[in-house]
Amino acid sequence: MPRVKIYQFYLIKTSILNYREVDGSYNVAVAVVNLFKNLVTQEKWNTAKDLINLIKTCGKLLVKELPLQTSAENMIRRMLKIVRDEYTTACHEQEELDIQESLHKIVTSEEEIDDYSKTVAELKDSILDHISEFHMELETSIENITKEAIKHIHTSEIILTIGKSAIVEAFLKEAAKHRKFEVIVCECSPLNYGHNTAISLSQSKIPTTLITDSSIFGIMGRVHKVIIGTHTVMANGGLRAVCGTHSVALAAKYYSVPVIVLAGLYKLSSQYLISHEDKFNQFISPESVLKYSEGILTSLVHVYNPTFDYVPPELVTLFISNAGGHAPSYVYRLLSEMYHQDDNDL
Amino acid sequence: MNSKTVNEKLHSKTNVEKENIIQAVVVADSFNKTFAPASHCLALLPLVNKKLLDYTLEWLNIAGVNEVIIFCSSHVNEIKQHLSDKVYLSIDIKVLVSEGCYSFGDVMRALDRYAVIRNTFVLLSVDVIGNFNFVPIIEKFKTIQKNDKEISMMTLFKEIGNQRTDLGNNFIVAYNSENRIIHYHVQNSRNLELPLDVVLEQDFVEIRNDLLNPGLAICSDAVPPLFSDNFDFQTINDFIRGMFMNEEIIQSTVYCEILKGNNYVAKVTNWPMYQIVSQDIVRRWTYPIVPDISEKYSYSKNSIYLKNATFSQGCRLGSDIVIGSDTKLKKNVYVHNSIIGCNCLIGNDVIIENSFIFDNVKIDDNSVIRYSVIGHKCHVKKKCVLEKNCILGPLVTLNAESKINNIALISKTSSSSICKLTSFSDGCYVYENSDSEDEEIASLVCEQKIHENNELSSASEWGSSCSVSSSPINLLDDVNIFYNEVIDSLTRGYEDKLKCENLILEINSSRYAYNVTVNEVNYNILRAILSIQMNQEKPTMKEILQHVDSKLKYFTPILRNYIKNEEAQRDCLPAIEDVVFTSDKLKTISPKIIQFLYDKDILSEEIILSWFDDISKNDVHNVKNILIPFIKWLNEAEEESDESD
Repeated sequence: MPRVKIYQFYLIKTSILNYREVDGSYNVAVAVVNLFKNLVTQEKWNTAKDLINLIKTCGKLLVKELPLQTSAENMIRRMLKIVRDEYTTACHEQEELDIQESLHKIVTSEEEIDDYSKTVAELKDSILDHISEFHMELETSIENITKEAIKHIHTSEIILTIGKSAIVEAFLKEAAKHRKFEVIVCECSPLNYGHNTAISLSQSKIPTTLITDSSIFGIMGRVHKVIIGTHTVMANGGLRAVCGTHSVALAAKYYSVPVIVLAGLYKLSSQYLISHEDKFNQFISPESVLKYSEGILTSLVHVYNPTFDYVPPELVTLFISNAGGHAPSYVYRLLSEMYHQDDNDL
Repeated sequence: MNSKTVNEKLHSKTNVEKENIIQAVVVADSFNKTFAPASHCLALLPLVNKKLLDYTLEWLNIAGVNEVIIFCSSHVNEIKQHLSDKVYLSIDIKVLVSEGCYSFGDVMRALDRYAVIRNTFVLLSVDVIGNFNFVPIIEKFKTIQKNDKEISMMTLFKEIGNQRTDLGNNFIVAYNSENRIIHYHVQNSRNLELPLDVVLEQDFVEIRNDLLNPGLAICSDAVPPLFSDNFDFQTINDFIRGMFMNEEIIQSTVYCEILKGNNYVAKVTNWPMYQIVSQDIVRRWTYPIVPDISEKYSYSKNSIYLKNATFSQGCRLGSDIVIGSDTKLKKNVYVHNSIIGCNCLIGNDVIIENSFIFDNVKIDDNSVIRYSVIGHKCHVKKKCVLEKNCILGPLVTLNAESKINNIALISKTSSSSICKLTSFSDGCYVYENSDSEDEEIASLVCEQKIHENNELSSASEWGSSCSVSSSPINLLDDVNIFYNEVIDSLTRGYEDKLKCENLILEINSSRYAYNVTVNEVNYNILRAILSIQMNQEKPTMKEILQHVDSKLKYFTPILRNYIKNEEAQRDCLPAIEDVVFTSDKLKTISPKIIQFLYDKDILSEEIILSWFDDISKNDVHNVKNILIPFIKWLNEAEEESDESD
């Protein structure tokens, strides 16, 4: 299978495969964009249709290898959208850009659905330009989000966060340059990534308290804001975030504490929650809950160790992305801007 | 860019990094026939609906390994065919063939001849299931190598705690503060012998018996030549032992690494292990190598994994279930703790519990399957009952309403020359392995789980006794412990009217546990049977006679099983001396006992007569007079039979 060999070559070269673990979705997104940049430059393709097929085949392989990384899947969709956009722009220079802009146009449109098979001059260059532009956007996304920090964190506030998120850390550190406030970190058992966050924050001279997950509700009454990261933003504005986030969000709802979610646009997924068990969650090894060396006990009990929680959109107050702040109800709009409807199935 | 240039690029890349790549050698053969009736090729044995070879490769793919060398000595074409449509991104697969290998040691010697090993490599067998990354361990190996140039191997052990006796962790390892193994001892008894001089050389020694040895090692490139130099090494254990015995000559050291936490590893050595590892996979200890991630099953509560399975009305699912794609379950099927392969058809009202059903199996209405393994493309017809330990080889058709138990069946088409064939029904034969020890392993399948619940207390007892076992106070020697165990089993068997076959199994397992010789077994069996006490306080002569008679009758199958030849008969006669002749009451009925054994063809005339000559020369117990009438009768009987001839 020479075709597959070629994709293998790209995947090995971009060392994407090192990101099999759950964390580091930003790095995955960057690696995937680089991968497709190489693919577009080095592979032989004539029409946009060829390229779309190429990206889809390689993408499927990638998704199979990195089942935990939704940002990889998002980036593949984004790349497809870029190709489609550039093609449409080149073909219909004079026509209006977005055909799906209004319902009226969709109904009255008599044009056949384009199958992207026309040969277009300089398509490659324009696609590469667009990808580079997108790459820049990705690289500045953390910076853009942290810029918002001083608008949301005020002097002597108490902020609560959970687990470990690079963007939340950067956000809090940025705010600490200008204001004095306190942070409470939930340890996020059983993996206890919260410990790392607490250490990192206290090293930057932010007054930090580490609490157990069981005391979330007890302490919520004193908290002014909850600021969390997420693994994925679902299509309805819900979150697929680290296990324990749901209880934080529920406690915040009870005490009417605003929940602010920091997420780059690359985390926006076109998936909906269908079932908690199937394809949504990852149940990792029970080891961190019950040790294998406990012996006989392990065969007598069922241990579940889920990685993620689903947080429904009504518990989220605000998303802060690199494009600014959005309410959860606005996510569907972002989705239709960022991804093409034909790419929902890879 | 065409594929050719890509390949060239790939090659140039590997040339640059040749020094740093991690190689893994996978031995795709176990050199025994443990799983023979169900699958003739170990690498292609399905475990939770995936071949063992696929587990190994999937693991190595995520374990930081770059090049995999699969070493096969049989079924080469099947393995190559299987590999042809697989895609693994991180690893480069090579298949090496050497037909004349009959042991693990042979493989290592062949590996030395092929000269494919460039650097430190990972050595494992295809039946090892794991999920961890080798890179940090190899880093560790290399740091040790800087200080100790003689390091040849680093064996990996998994910490399993000392409550799990079911994993075959019968060894003790002692290592020093640098993790260098200073003593390795396969344990047959609960006693530990540790040479003092070895320990005294070290500042710090850790002795452990709560580990599992999966036969997995990081080896330096010096290992294959060492196997070539020492042609008697057959296994990794031989190698480790050889390192200690010839420490001065060989000049190599062996280190160990204890795997903890999320690092799972186990070896599928026999059917009980097969069952345990299956459960571990289903319970996700092997994460991320679990059916829902690698095979796109859907995972739901109670560890149920499904993929395109069709259910009809009234189906009930218990827990710990995997059902492969396109399998159809008809009405009112009940499944619990079982693995069902792809494309199976399960009929109405079938009950499947604690069983393994491979691909393309058809099970007709109203059958019951418990604790069994059903090979691929089998057909179990209506109303069959398969209880405990049934293993059906591939393509077996089981007639309607068969009831089988503790048996391995194969079809004619898959029979090979090593099997003796006993016809069971049309086209279906009883599988008997030529190697009796293997047969015993096979027959133990799935029994484990039944005991597991009941024996929780006894297992933890073992654990605690184990922790103090290093103290030397243990007056009973192995033979005595064995004798006591036999007495226990027999008394229980006699009271609860258990089947003699099961008792034989129990006796055999205690025999191997305490490493008792055949002669001692023969002697102790009869001694134990005769020593079982009566319940009554003061029995009359008649009651004693009845008791002894019924005991002997009940245990005849056991005696038949053990006392098969003249030597065995000679072994067991001293038991009569020791038990019967030392008790006054039993002494008087001794002729009856011997006559019974003679009637049942357990003892032959010649043996009895020569034995009688021996004891009458030096009559310690005054039994000559009691036995004389019987001997006379025996002589007459012999003459009569001679005359009639």
